[in-house]
Amino acid sequence: MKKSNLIQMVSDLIQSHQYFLFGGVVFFFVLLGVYIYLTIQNNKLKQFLFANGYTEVDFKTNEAIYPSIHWKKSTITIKGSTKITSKQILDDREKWEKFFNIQILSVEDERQKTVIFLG
Amino acid sequence: MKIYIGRNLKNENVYWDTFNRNFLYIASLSGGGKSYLASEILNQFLDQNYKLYIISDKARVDYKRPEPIKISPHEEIEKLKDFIHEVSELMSSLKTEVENSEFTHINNTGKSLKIAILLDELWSTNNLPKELKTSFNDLIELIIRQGRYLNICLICLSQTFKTTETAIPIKHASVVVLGRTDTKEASLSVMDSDIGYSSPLKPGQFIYWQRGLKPFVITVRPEKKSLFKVLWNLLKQKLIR
Repeated sequence: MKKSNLIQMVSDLIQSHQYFLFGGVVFFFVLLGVYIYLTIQNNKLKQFLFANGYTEVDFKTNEAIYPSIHWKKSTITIKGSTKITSKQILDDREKWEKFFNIQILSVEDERQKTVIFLG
Repeated sequence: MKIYIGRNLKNENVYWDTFNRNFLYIASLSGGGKSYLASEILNQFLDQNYKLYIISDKARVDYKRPEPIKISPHEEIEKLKDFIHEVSELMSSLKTEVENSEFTHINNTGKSLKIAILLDELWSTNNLPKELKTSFNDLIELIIRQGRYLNICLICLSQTFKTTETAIPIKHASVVVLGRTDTKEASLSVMDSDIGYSSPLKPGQFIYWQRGLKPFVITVRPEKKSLFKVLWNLLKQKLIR
């Protein structure tokens, strides 16, 4: 096959599928944007947890262990932390409300987790 | 007897156990859902064949069911006097009954006398004639102190949170249901915690505090019933018919 024929084939292919390609590129950028946004948010959350002393230190690797935080419609569930308790959250109420932009209605300690109910 | 109050934030039913705690105090600002909650509680008392007294100037406005005895303290002074006389006599006779039995609660003696009293707009009783006010307050205080073992339940409703606005000892309330308060001190005066002020409560949401336990948020919603209970009630109704 000649080189000019190959170029011709590729250009035909692009021309016939140009809308799909354009859509793909847009979709890629949207995904990238979401990924960057989530990474930034996660970093902010980690900074918040670290700055307020809610992290623990792995005694083997000496790295910080972050608690897992699940934010749903009307609750925020915090798991995997011995430092975050209902009392601790109520003491630092203003910080939590300001960071998450929420109103805390009530905080309850459950088995292995702490649940913040949003107002 | 267990009276359904609402659901907590974990969606579990919350009940008021009248056997151990006979004095319920509901305080909330106007439009907080206080009268709705009170009428829901009263309906449950009526379903359990309680003799119900409503002492309020708004009794005929807020509570539409015909069964309760409605007393307007300012317009029906004679009726209020009769109520004081009737309940005092009843209490002394019940007290003798318990004293002569081997039990410590009227329910255990086999006598099934059930009385509930609702006091709406607490401040209004302050304007009663002096003698009547004294005897009324004395009776209410007696119910608070001795009504538990005589199975007399007392529900007090108030729009303000000041415990000083009335001579009735609100501080003795065994169960407090509190709406959002306007100041931190108001919450502290009723329940030794500022949760009533710090929690952003919406209308229909209250703080439920039982003496000796941690206060928590409840929402006034229909009772959550198990399917088995619903079917059993339906069957019971059909069998009665």
